[in-house]
Amino acid sequence: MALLSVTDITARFGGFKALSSVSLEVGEGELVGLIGTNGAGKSTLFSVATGYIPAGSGSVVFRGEDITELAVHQRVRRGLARTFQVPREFSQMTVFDNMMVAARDQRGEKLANLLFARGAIREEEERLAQRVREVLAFLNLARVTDELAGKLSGGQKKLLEIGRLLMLEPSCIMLDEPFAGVNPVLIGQLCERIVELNRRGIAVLIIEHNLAELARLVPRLYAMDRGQVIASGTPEAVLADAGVREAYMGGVI
Amino acid sequence: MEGYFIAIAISVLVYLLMASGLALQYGFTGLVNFGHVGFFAIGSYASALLALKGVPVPVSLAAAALLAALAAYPIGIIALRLGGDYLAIVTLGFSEAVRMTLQTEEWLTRGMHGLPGIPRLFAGWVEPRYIDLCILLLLVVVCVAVFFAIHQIIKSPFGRVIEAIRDNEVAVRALGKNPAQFKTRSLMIGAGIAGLAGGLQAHYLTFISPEQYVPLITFYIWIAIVLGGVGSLRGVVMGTVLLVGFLEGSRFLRDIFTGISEVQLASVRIWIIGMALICVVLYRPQGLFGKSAERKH
Repeated sequence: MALLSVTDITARFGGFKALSSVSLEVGEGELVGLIGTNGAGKSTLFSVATGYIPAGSGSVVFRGEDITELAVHQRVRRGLARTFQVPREFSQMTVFDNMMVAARDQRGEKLANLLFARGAIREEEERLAQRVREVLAFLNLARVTDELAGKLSGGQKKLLEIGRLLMLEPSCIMLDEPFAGVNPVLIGQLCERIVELNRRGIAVLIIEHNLAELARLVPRLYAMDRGQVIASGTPEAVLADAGVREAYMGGVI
Repeated sequence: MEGYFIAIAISVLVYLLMASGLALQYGFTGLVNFGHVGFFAIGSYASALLALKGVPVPVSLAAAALLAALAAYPIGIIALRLGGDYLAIVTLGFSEAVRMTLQTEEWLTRGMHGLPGIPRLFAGWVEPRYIDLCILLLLVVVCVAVFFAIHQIIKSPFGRVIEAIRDNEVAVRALGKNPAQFKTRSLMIGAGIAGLAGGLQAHYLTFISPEQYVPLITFYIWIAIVLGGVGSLRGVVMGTVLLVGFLEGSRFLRDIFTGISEVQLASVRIWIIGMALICVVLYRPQGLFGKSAERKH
């Protein structure tokens, strides 16, 4: 059974049908790409799957549970996490604190514990700080640990967003254009980290415009156009698909 | 003269207590609460009415804080699901609704006649001439305790989350946390502190009436924390001391500038405050004593 199945999703913005009957699956530990031209509905699909936009019809099932009606934070707590096309770092906080915030169910988030469980909170903070340092090292962000997140480069912000997701220990992450605005050197590094995460068992769904990079990264692809999935399969098969070529190149190539 | 100094100091400390609550709500959580005086009023009347019914003052004060905090709960539920601007409107409306209620529900509040004879703090415990001084000392202790508590809150993991909410609420949701939950708590704590401040003031003044709780009070506190610096406790303290010290102290100006009338002087005071606010926002948006928002760990 698939880890994440999106079935027959429809979404409208006023009279505009952004998604019409879209279905997509991500298996346990799978690495899947999602391509499509601007306005094809990729980000909308992400937003519906993660709860930022309500589904007009259809269902979202995650780990066998119907999560179509759940709020954003409830879906994240079940292990389905995402990044944004434009990074949403906490710009006024340090990289370290950005990471610390992310860990879930911290004792110190409960006010009563501030009075009665100070020792336990301190221990937890130390444990989390240790984990933050590990993840930052894994993402090559150790050098900027104490910088304000708002001062990072675009690529570093994308890494930081992935880092925050890792603090959540998710089972599926959805990355919205992780390579957009990232310099080519860092793209290679980013790909490597994504593959490594996937190797550790985290399922990854990536939206990307950079077809060359994506085709190298993922074994399986979906292509969308005008609110519909028009092809799926191996990158070779999808990129060779007539409909995909038509949508992308206007049939020129 | 000494008595007047004590009176000014008490006034400053009551405002300071209210300002600390607003600092937690706005400075650290980003909640635009334009109805702070409403919670202050609830605390005043709750403590006064209970004490008039014979409840010991320490108990009535605790009840005042609790009641003001509880009053913030429904506002949290209703308004925090909406954007920041709506919260501003809802809270402003709330504080005016509280004032209107105090004016019209005469069976409980005696309406515009006000509530006289509220038991003074320390009455019967110390000699009457030392009571003001004792109230002042109590307020100092309460302020120190409240600021210490807020400091503990903002450097805790809870404080980290509210700071993140102020920064980017969408991202907080993406991390599996429900911002409404944290914002409601921040709102309730701030409201509880305002309620406590209201109670303390009622037992100092011994007479309260609805017209003491106009929106202007809320905006004085806003001016104070914006002047001092919203994101730092030191800024909040300095801003409040400066503003309230100036408001209360500038009455002496007439002794120096003998040529102008009372009305003219009042206008000059407001003009000075307005100019100071404009200059700070233009040239030092982080406040006179605010540091950059960087957080140490």
